[in-house]
Amino acid sequence: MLSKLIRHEWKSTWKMIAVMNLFIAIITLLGVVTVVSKIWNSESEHVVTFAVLSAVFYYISIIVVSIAACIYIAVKYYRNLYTDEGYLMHTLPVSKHELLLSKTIVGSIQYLIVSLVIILSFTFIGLSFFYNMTPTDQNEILTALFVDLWPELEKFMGDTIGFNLFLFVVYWLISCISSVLMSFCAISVGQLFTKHKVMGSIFCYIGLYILIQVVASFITVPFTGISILENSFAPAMITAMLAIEIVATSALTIVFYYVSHYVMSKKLNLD
Amino acid sequence: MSSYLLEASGLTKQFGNETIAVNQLNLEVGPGKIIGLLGPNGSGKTTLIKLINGLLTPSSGSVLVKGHAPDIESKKTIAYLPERTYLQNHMKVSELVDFFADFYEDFSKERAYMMLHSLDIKSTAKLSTLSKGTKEKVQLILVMSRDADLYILDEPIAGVDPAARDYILKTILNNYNENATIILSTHLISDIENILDEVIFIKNGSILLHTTVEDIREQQGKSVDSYFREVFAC
Repeated sequence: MLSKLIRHEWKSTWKMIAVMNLFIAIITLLGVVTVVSKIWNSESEHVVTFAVLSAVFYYISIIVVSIAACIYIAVKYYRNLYTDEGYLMHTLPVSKHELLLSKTIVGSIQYLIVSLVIILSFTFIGLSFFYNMTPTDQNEILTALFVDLWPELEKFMGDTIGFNLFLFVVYWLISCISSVLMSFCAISVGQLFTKHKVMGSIFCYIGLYILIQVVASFITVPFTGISILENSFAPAMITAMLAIEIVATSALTIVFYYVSHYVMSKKLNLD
Repeated sequence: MSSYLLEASGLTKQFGNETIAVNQLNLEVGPGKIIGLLGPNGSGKTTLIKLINGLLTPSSGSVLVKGHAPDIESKKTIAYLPERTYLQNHMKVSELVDFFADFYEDFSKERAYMMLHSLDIKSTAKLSTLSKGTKEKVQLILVMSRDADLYILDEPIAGVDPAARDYILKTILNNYNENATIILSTHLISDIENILDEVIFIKNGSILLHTTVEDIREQQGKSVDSYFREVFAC
């Protein structure tokens, strides 16, 4: 039944996510054209103003799409499980775990896709800047990256560079799942309010966000403190910090999942 | 195992500190019956139905469907029609048929398409393009295309015109398995009186009366509609 739920969930949500990705692709293309057309070097003040506004528009659009994707996944969850549509979803012969897992898997994959598309967009914009440079500037950048920076990084990080990169990717993946489940958890807790359930959900989300920031600070502050005090930053510290972040985020993700499941299975009260 | 299809014992649902929508309700329903769940607005009919379907968590007491508290097994047993539209507006009728066929083993696509055809509802139509009444018909068709043991229909004829009411009642009668039980909630009693075997009168969240239609006619010398008006007179 889980695979059927996932299939139907994907079918009912992929179009909006595709539109968001298409929008990022279009603004990236416009950005690349703006950069490659060298309008930055124009002598006309209006053209330069247009270029600056385009850059601002690009960055704001990326932020808006990123937030919109998160909101869309959360609203879909709310509408599908806690409004009229919930009368169908909660009377399907499936377990609450299957319901929640299907939403988590589809939501996380879609959020990951949007994040990846944003990373690709930044990469293309960066490459178009590089392509637009003079051969001398290009050489300087390449030298700075591969002759100066990379060997230094290798010398500093030693064997841990690949492992830390792997940890970072794992952390990014877990963060995406955690973001999705955090919104599910906030919506679920909001359902425990007798009135103003949506407002309750928003306040819960803000509360959880603050909580996570506090937890993250508890993890990073000691490491930063040690590095400042000892005037050094050992590669092992990066590994330890990433590992702790992964464990803490995973623990929070599990808590978000179980709270959402608990409300759905033990405290369900559809209006 | 109990021979009852549906059993509620001491079932209570309280909202907040004051409103008790269902109050210490006890109920036993056997198989093969058409039962009218009758009561004025706010008497607790919909709350009771939602408790049976697991859409509300009881404050106390229990409800069992074929011996199961609301769970996967009870949901396989019940075909539920709520009093609101629970289908996703962006879906086509044919997609909804596929959706039901995917999740309910007892769903008959053939029966669904036959009913859609006889009501002249296009399977290619998006739900958002249909009128409220047609959406309700689609929903009823989907529910009645199941071969369930217990049908729970909450106000199935409230929002449609009298002609459609006749069709809906005909649809219900023609499409349910005779060993199954139908619980039909409504306050339009005269329209359904002739098809009922039993009635349950509910008031202030408690059961006032659970008897056969025959008994009411014999003992009270009245139709169910007249008796209902007498019992619930303001």
